[in-house]
This record gives sequence, C-alpha cells and structure tokens, in this order.
Amino acid sequence: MNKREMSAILAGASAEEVEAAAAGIRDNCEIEILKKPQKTLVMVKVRESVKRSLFYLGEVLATECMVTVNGAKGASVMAGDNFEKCINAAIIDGFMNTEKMPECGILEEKRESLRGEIKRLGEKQKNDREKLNRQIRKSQVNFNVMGE
Amino acid sequence: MAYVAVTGGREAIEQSLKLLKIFRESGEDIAISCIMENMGLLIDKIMSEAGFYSREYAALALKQCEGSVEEAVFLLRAYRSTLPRNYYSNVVDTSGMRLIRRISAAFKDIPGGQILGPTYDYSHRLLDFSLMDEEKKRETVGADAEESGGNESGEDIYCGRVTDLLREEGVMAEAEEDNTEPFDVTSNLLTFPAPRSARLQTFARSDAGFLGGVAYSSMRGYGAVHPTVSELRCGYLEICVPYVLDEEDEICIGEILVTEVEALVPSHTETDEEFEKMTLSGGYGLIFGRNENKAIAMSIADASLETKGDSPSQDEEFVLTHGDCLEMSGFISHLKLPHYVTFQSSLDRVRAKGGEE
Repeated sequence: MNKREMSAILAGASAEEVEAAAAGIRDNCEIEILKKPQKTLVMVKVRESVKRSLFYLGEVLATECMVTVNGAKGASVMAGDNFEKCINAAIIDGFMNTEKMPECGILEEKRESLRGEIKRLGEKQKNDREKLNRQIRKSQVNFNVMGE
Repeated sequence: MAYVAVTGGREAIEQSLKLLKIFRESGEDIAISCIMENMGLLIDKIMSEAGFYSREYAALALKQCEGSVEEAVFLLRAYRSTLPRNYYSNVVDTSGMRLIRRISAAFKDIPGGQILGPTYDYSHRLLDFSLMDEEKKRETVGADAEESGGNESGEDIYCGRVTDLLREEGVMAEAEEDNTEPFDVTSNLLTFPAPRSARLQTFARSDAGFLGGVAYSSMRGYGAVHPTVSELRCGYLEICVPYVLDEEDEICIGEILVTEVEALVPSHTETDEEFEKMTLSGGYGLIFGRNENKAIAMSIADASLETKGDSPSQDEEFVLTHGDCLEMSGFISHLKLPHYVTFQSSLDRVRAKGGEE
C-alpha cells in the first residue's frame, strides 16, 4: 500500500476510525507536533479533455499538520477542517516512515499490523459503496430509436 | 465623478443588524448537517460560485444568511481570502472519475453504457405532498434500498470517454497535451484576449443563471453554437497533492463531487476545401458539485468564444466580466447605498437646464 492509497483510505474514514487506528501509536510512541494543524486552501489543477490544457477549477478547504513519531517525521493534508483527524493521520504517516529509520525502534510487524487495519478500513469503505453502486447500475439505460 | 462619504446612522445600523438576527430566528432551528443532507444541490451551487469546496461551510453560510445564494457566496469568498493557499493539487485527470451518472446525447450505445443515476430529467414535476410527513418517506426509501440486491455489480464505476473514440476514428480534432501553467483569476487581473485557462476558471465560478443566459442566447440565434452533448458525467475525483516530505510522492486529501460536460459542434467551414476537412470540435464544462445545466452552459459558452461574430456570447470581455456572482451582486447592491451628492449633482444639472429653457 503506497502513500496515496493509504491517505485516500484515511481521508475517506471517519475521525473516530482514524483515531482508533492511531491510538496504539499514541500510547506507545513519543509524539511531537512540529506543525500544529491549520487550515489551508488546495487549488485544484485540472486537465480539461477537449483541448487537453490545464486550468484551475477552484479551491478545496483542507487541514495540514506535521508530527514526529519516535523521531520520524509524518505529515498529513486532508480535505475539511477536522484537526484531530489530521493529527492522527500524520501520526500514522510518521509511524509508517519509521520503516526507513531503524533507530526509531519500531518493528516491521507493528507497521504491518497497522497496514492491515487500514486495509480493512478501505474494504469497509468499498463495501459501503457497493450498495449504492448496485442501485446506480440499475439505472443503466438502453434507449431504442423508433423505426429501427 | 468622485464619491463622497456619509457619516452617522450608527445606532440605526446596529439595530438593523439586530433585526437580521430576529428575522433569522425560528421556532425550529436547523442543524448544519440537516442543510448539508437536504439541500445538496443548493450547497453545490454555492460552492461552485464561490470557487470554494467545503460542504459544511457552504451550509453554515446558507444558515447565516437565510438561504441567500449571493450572500452565502460573499461569506465564503470573504472567508476563503483569510486562508493561506499552501498547496496546488497534482493535475487531475477527470477520466479517473468514480461515476454516479453518465449519459450521452450523441450516441445511444457507448462503451460502458449510459447510466442515468440520480436525475430530475424524467421526473413528474408534481408537488409530492407525502414529503410533508418526512418520517414516513424515510422508511419508504430505506425499504427500496433493501430491495436493491439484484445481480448488478457493486464495483466502483469508471468509463472511458466518448470523445476518445471519436479521436481514434479521426472525426474529432486531435489535441496535443498543453502543459502551459494555468492563469489564476483569483490572483491576477484578467486582460484580453484571455488565456483559455482563465476563461474556464471564470466560467467554473460564474453565476449559473448568467452562464445559462449566455448559452441560451447562443442556442437561440444570438451566436452560433447549438451543440450535442457528447458526454455528461457526474462523480467523484480524488485530489492529490505532493507529499511534503518527498515531492516525488503524492498523498490524497480526499474526493470532490463534480459535473463534467463535453459538447460537440462541427468545425466552422467556409470553403469547399475546408468542408472536406471538417471535423468535430468541442466545448468543455467542469464545475464543483451536481449542476448539470451550468456545466452544459459552460461548455456552450466555451465553444461560443471559439466562434467569430457580434453576439454577446461571442464577446469574450462581455462574457468573462459580467458573470461573477459576487461582483455582479455587489455592483447592483451598491445602488442602495447613499448617493446623495452624486444625485444632487445630476439634479442640479437638470434644474439648470430647465431654467435655461
């Protein structure tokens, strides 16, 4: 699971779910906040499909912060204004970044366990969407041209 | 003519603001979550015209100003101006949209199929008095949802574009990828002729009614564009930004709901030779949220500016400088404020002229 996939799952999860995923790290690791959560704008850059040029669609409200987990840096930028959710996501990111820093003293099996937990969150989100997706697919239409 | 300030009225103004609160008060308070869930299309309209995506803050703005769209847009634009913009997203490719609706007016059979999704297009426009009893309605919708098992796949829905097929066939003009950095109308003064990026950004933020009027006028003959909607799609886009600790990597900040339209028009021809080489060209529309008429209108306005003529919809400066909700309502609204000195000056001239005669 790469950074993009993991952050997408965390962004789609509830604040409580992200808090639960970060709880073990909070209890067992030394956490320092490098950059307090703050609101920021994210300008959305889009490639339009007719002339394939770029333009700015508009801005999304987001929250950003940065922490360290046993000395390893972690960062998060998340749509919305939930500061706690953003901190917890940054803590999870920092925990994962200990992979490249053995001196942080985090065993790979701990990271693997957290990856599994986040993967389960992703599967739950997928299951939640399935019901609606089935309803949407039911509205697939076949128009017939009269006389053909 | 210069403006002259007025003073006084402080107590009356304070009382007026107090009255606003009194008029906003109601016996039954409405929660922000309730506005978000029940007024989704209104929220979408406000976010689109504010150029600011936050469902919660749009709902808050609506609550604060008794549901006035222009006041809500004003509040969001004002708030947005207090925030830093620390990120620009990586380029979003809309072909990766997770779809909830996708139709084509150009072809009845398109790869991936046409999916009506949620639409009022085929609804009877009759007042539904059963909604008066909301609890009962909720139960009914819930029961329908349970019945929906069926054999349909529950996988997320992604589809290729209709225009990609037309390009493969050679009937639509091929376009090279243009990586010119976009112009930002929120930070720079618009000059004319405007770059395409400025045009599209301005349209995306435009007042839906104004843009609809421009498109309608073009279709009715004050212009030359009556296109066919090649594809209209509505769905979710993932927004990613560079990962601050490793710019080579990226993280996803979440999803936004958008509506996108590609509209097709035959390329303009005057000579037989040009006619032989005629291809399809297009107009493009993309906006925050679900607002299909605005997205279609945007695609028409875009295509119309590619044509030459004297109609308003073909006048770039006219179209791009009169559609901003905030500027429009602000300029009209200022007429309510005291103009005593300027009017007195006009009055004096009229009286003087009368005296001369």
